[in-house]
Amino acid sequence: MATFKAYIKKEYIESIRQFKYIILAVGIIGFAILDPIMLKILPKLLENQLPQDLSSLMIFTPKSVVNNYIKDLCQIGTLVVIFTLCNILSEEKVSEKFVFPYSKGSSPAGIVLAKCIYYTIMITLFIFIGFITVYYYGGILFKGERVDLIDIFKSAFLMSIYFFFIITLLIFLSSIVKKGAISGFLTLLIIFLLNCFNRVQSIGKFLPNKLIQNANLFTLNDTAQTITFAILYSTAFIIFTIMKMSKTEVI
Amino acid sequence: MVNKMLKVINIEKSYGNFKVLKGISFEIKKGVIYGFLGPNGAGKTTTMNILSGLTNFNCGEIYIDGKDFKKDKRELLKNVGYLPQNPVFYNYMNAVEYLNFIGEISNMPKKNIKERTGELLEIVNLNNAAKRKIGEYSGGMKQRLGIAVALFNSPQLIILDEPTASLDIEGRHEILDLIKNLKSSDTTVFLSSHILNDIEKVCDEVSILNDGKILISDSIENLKNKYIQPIFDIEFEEECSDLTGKLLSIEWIENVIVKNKNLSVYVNDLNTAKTELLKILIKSGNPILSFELRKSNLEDIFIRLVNKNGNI
Repeated sequence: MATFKAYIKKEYIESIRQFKYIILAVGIIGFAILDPIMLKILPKLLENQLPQDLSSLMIFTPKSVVNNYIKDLCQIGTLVVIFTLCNILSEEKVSEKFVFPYSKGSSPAGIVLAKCIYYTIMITLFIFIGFITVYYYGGILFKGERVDLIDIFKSAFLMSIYFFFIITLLIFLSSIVKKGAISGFLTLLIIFLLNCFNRVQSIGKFLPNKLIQNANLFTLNDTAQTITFAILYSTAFIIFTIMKMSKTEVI
Repeated sequence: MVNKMLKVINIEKSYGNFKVLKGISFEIKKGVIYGFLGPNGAGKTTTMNILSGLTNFNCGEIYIDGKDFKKDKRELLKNVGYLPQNPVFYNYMNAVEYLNFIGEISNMPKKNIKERTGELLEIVNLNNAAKRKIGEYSGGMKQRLGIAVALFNSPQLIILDEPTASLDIEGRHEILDLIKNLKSSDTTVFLSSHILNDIEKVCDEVSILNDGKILISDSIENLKNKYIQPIFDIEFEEECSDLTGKLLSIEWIENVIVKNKNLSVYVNDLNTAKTELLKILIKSGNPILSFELRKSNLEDIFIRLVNKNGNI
């Protein structure tokens, strides 16, 4: 517990001093502000370049604005999260920053859990702020089909679990790969493969990518299995990471 | 076992097929400053990394204060302080933040952390740089902060790997004084350094390690006596070359070297030479200004042992 508390504090200082808060906030909340504005001005920007019949198809509603935000969050947001956190363990391991903490008897479980929980809470917070922001701006700028705030929270909740899965996968890969960029690209590759498998009906609901589909539908119906499996995979990654970090020679 | 702070029995460590430690054993009594010497690649740092829980070992036993290291490593490490050769910190933190972080890891109460931080920053002379980011520190300052980290939880056993390596002369003296002072607080210090003069200044006992094996473990005084060189250096008031023939005819004298008024006599029976040589020289009538048995320093002993020329 002492290690866990010390590392939560350390990650807090690190996030501020290395501008991780700003980078992650821009990558997650930034699109919530930009998306509604972009979608509002897009038809005007393109009105002279598109045929009349095509531009008439570009009708946006508050609901489609949120869907557009979810799409951006899954694409660019994921990239920002992955490449901001891809060094999460490897950098400290390679540069021997764990030497003093380990020599003082700190617990690898405390280190891994502190990192997982800290960044999951931070990203979850940003995701909820992002969804509320896009809901608010979407409602102001567009007319038409709306989504209830409670359904917005359901989507934000599903996206948070999806990002929890990504963070734990990233931490696991960062514990076995020396270079942060490689763990980042491996995470991206796995996400891409999961997307491909997600199209297979029989296994789709066991894969975390199904959470994105449900987030787009603003529903928690039929998601229990997907949520359970996403949490199970994440727990397994955390356990493997702790095992790896317990055996790792940090010097 | 009770007055032993550290007992290492037959430790082996390999990296792939390369055996770094080939069954080393030694023990350190409580409150002793123990030096660990050896050429580069002898296995000093590997031993220290093993004892500070950073590296695993293949076989052997380690006991810290009588407790089995394998059984309760993390708990025992709370009583051990370690300074690596190149200490690495979170450079975006300042010294106070880093020491607080170490205090929290060591599960110390908040009040004690604050007090200990102030106390140690003063000891290592970093109070003026306490709020500066560690990334802006010089090598020497980092080394001193590393010592503060090693000492933070007032450990009973402190392992220092080349603590004076990156320090200037003044800094070296400060750190050596600090190490000497640890002895008065009954702390056991296990120290490696390639600066043999430093080891000689502060250590009570030493082990010399070469090629993954311990060549010798003993107190510095015993080593000096054991590896004393059987050479007497004598200075006369007048030229002394006429003595050569007479001295060489004595059976326990092997060689005589004369340089003006100085004479070096190499003997093969030290005990006889100690009692008889001076008498013979006095009889020559040439007044003697100085007479001394050439003493080995730690560096001589180290070189002789490592080069396997112990009988020179």
